[in-house]
Amino acid sequence: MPPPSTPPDLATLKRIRNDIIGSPSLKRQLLRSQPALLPALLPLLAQSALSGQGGSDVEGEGTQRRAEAVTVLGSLCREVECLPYLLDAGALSALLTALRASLSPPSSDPQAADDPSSPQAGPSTPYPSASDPLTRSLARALADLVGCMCEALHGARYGIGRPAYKGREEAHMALEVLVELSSLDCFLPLLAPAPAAAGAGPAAATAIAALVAHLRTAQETAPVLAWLPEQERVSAAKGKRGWEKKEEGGWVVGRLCAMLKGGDEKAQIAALHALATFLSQTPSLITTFGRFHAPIAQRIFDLSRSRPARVRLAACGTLTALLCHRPSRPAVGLAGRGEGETPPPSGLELNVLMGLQAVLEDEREEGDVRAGACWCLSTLVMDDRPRALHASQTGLLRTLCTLLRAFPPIDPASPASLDDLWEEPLPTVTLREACMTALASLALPDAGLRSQLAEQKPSVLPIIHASLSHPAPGVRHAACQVVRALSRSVAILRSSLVDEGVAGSVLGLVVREGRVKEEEGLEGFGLAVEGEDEGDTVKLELEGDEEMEMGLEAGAGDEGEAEGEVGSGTGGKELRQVKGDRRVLLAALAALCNFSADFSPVQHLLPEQGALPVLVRFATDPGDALLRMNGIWVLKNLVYRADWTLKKGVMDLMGWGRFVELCRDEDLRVREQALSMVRNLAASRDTDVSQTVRAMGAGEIVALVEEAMATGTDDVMMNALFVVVNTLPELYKASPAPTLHQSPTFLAALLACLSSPTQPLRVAAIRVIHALLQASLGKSDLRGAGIERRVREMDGGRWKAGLASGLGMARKSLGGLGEADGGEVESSLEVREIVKKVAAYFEEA
Amino acid sequence: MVRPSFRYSPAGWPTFFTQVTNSGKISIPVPEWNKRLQQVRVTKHDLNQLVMDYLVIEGYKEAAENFSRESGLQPPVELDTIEERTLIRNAICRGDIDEAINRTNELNPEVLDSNPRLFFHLQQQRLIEYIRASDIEGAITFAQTHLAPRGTENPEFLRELERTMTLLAFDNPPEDIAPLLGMGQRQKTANELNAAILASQNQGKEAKLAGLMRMLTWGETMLDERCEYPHVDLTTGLLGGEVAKPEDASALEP
Repeated sequence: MPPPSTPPDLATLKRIRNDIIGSPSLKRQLLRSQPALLPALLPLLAQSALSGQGGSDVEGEGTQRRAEAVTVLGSLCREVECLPYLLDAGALSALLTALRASLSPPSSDPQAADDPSSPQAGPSTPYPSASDPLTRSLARALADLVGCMCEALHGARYGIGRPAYKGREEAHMALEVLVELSSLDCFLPLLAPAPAAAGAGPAAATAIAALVAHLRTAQETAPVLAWLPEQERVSAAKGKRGWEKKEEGGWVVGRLCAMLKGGDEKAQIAALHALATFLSQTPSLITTFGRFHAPIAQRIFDLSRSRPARVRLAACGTLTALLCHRPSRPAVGLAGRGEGETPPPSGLELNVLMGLQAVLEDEREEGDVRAGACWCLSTLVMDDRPRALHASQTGLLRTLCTLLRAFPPIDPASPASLDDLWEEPLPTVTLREACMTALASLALPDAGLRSQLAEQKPSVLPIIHASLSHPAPGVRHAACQVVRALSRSVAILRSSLVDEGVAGSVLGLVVREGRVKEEEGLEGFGLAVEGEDEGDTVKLELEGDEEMEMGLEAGAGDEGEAEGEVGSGTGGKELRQVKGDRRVLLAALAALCNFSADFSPVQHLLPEQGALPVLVRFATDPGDALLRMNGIWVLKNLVYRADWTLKKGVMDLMGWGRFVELCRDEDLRVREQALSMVRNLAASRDTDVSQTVRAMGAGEIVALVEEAMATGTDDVMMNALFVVVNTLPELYKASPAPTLHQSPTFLAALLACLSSPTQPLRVAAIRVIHALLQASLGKSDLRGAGIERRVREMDGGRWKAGLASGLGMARKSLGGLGEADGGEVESSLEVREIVKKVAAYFEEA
Repeated sequence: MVRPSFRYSPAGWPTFFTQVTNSGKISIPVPEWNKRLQQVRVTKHDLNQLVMDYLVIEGYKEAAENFSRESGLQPPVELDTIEERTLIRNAICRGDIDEAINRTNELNPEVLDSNPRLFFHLQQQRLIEYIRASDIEGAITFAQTHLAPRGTENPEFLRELERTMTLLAFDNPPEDIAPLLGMGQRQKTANELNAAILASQNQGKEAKLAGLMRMLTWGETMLDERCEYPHVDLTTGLLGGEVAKPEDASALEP
């Protein structure tokens, strides 16, 4: 196909359309091979480009060309890898301009109509004046483009999605343009109920609702929520008379609610998703739904019990967004019901749980719908113990296990069987990932649920274990999440997981996934690597023997073994190779944290299987803060209560100099873990403390503590203070002796920590003071800094503290502190014990 | 020997007019059954909607137009799309896949863009048509340029692609792959595309009437375990024991 130098004619457009529709690779290829196509195509979107060319035939063909141009562009907008080309060519502004033109009556000044920033431009009416299907196509193309932008910027909405996205920066900037008032004026009016004459109506409104549903953050949704049609903006600016009825929740929410009332399923689904987006980002909207939109809340409730599964699921998603902002009912401690018994679920919650259960149990339902139910459940129970318990009581834990057992079996010992998994249908792969993610979310907040999952008969642990070998990174990631959740229970870790050999497999996964070379500056969901190969969406840069043969990946007996040659042992059939994935690596490291703890019977596997150099490499990776944090977290757990030989082994690999750099890491999460590791190194035995202080240097430790206190971050400060507690007697043996106790900034920070609402931080602060006084250091300095006064305040109103603990209410708002004369009384028993000792030290003077 | 019963039926209403047979089943005579049927109110609007749904889904455009005019019922889709759907189906059935793809993209470009499996099956059918026409070179070129990328994008299609390519190796294909060359395969592809277009128009895959017929049969099977009652004869639409009136009988003639 020759590159078009002029706008393509109708026949060419139709040919391009038929070539690219359904073929993502051809779309990419087209934009790569024909850089002039988009610049030639986009002007066709503007009405003015084709009008006034004379003759009805010519005009008719012009309209057709415009329609085909929109179709081609719409198809390109569905492919996220085309996004950089589209944004670069100005597809967003072209679509907005074309939509604006379709909303406005034909302007006498075509330039003004085509320029969104022009003050004359703008809809004089909120209704679309264009009645042609073109507006629908334009709206759909814009919605798809925004979907790609949001995916590129925030990653996949559900699951781990693609390993890499290009054009994140461009997508970020384009989204900022999208939510500007002048841009919103171009497409939000399409949500208005269309006049009978207009044919763009419901389908265009559905597309715009879908666009809104793509948005993810409050920064993106807030301008949409606040938007008003131009006429209403004008009347609002003239002043209100007070008695006029306002549309609560905003104009857009009102239109979305109206869309629920019709019988169009697609419109209902899009509106429900859009409302769920708003509700999840705007907690204040929930009260609006309780009052003004109560009938709509009832309508959503009804839709959650409707017949079409997709509508039911979308309604459950909206109700989930409502529920997630509502605090769970408080635990009841009634006589005979046990202290802190979980209260029963609300009717709304029960309805959602039953709805999800019905979708998951229905084997005839399509895979993506059942996966949607898993994601919805995962959102509902995430970090919420009562809701997780309710879900289990409804039978969802059992249902998910049944679903897991129904998948085709995975045999990690058979390379050929693993190779076949490459061809597993995408809906099945997605459902595997969703199912295990939901199980992880269920099991994470409650030990009882973890036990239930581990004790399922027949056991699902072998399936989860085998899933660590699946070639799809999403499945491996989800399996790691379940392992991580289960390994939080010491009993399960020591029995079921060890018996199953999961620890070895996770370790093997870490070592192998870790062969991916990381790129700089990317966190969260993927690497921004350029993948120019046709048919291979992402090309990760790998080192040496970087690719894994899946046949050797899992199984406790195989870990650490050298990888075999590709194709060996499979009767000559060449096996496909699995590339490492950073997201899986992070999840595997998170799971490994529990296996490396002192209570783990498989802790010894880490040094034995040569994992330490790999872990140290992760912990010191200069380009990936998340990897550093996870790596150092594993090592921190490993050295806790370990003997000095192991501690020394780790530190020899890392180097004390690099370790000190980590304690100053610009990423505070890394710094927190590094300081926590100092705590663990300088613990257990006096010799360990002295060795650590000697290796790091007393002056360096003090400097690190002071720097940490200057961050103002609770967790970093707490760990820094515990470093002082652990090293204090040894710290002051150095010559010259440090002067931490005299540092005004340190003392001021210490004083602030004593009043912190975070109890562990107060514990750390009071323990530092106790340790200083115990070592007869800085009593006068502490007094001078006002710390003694604060301690006496904390101790002084003991009877009042008792009263406060009895009432229990005032303390909550003060973060655990009751009121006393001129300050707050400490209410935490742990802190009060040390406060008493500290007060005694001060009185000794 | 039957004896009168004063028990309550499973539905919960008194059954003074029913009897229990020797086999222990409740026997409901035709008049009583008819009386109960008449108590069930089905609106004419609902019935009209059922008919319209049948005409739209099955692709009777002209009949749907006439019915819409006579009943005053708005069709759920633009009636032109019914004709388009028929033309697309016919194009596949005569092996003109390019035409079917072109018409589908004209009708709604999202149908093929959002359904990789369907798109693969259409491309697979194109390959089959090349093979059927003994255009081996064309088949290989087409497979390399159009089908191989589908396999790369979705490895799940690779096996099906391999199976189709096997056709090239045989003059008389073995039994397991021979059906690919048959009319049944074209029909299957046409049905899949038809269902996808209907779904894009918020329509079901099949007429609601068919579902109701299945439900009726299932209901009767369930009821047979407990009752003896007049069955509906699906060929005449009459209850067992009823005689078609002369005008009805003439209406049933082909």
